[in-house]
Amino acid sequence: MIELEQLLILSAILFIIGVAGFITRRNVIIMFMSVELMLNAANVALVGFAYHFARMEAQLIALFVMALAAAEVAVGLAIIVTVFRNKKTVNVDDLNILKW
Amino acid sequence: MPEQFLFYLFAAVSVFSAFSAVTRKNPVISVVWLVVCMCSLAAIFVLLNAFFLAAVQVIVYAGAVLMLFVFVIMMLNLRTGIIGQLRNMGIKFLGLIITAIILRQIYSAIKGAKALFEIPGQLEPGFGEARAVGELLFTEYVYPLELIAVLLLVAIVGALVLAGKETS
Repeated sequence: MIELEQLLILSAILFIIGVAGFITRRNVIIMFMSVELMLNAANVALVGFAYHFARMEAQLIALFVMALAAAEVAVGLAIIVTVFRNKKTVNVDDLNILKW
Repeated sequence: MPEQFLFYLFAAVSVFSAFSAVTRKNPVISVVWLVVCMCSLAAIFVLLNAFFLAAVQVIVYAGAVLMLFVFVIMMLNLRTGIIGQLRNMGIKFLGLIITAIILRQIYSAIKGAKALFEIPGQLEPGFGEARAVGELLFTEYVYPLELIAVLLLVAIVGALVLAGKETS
């Protein structure tokens, strides 16, 4: 029997790695991958709750999170491709056109 | 206890590969590490009786999402000069402080909520298999399912509009 606490700590560690990657990297593709990692960490917590409390609903929410992540990746990568086509860069520090 | 051993094994693999994924310079190698991370998370899902979700994790994440990343990286044809390094030291340090604060908060939240974990449920046979998931998905949760389907359609159309060939 795996304890819920262990799962939540694993989820927290993965989430923190995602946050750290999002803050410290400036390649927009790797930042995007960090977001995926954070979504997965949330999924681990949800599946852990489903296992511990024997509730299927949490697994369904995890399923919806996965579908949401797929949609997000499709749109986000399309935006990255468009930005690269116009600005020839994937470095977020160079994408400051909205800054005033 | 084999269950505990397998959990620690896959947890270690997933944490290590996640860490490698966000620290590599080359995004292609990052994607490969992220595939390792997703597959080990799928193994943890199997340990947690979420068999259908484990299959979906491998198919959707490792199969579709990360292959999309690889395609985009290959298509952008990033030369070594363009591949981003880490930010400057100041922002890196600030980022580490922020992550330390968040980790501290999450840890105290887990400790504080421990009393709520006292009553574990009893797993029924068939828990987490495709049949049980499907039954719930198509009866009680049919509206969220339809909404997600519409969302995916909107995302596909949006991606085509954004990145599709420009006609002028």
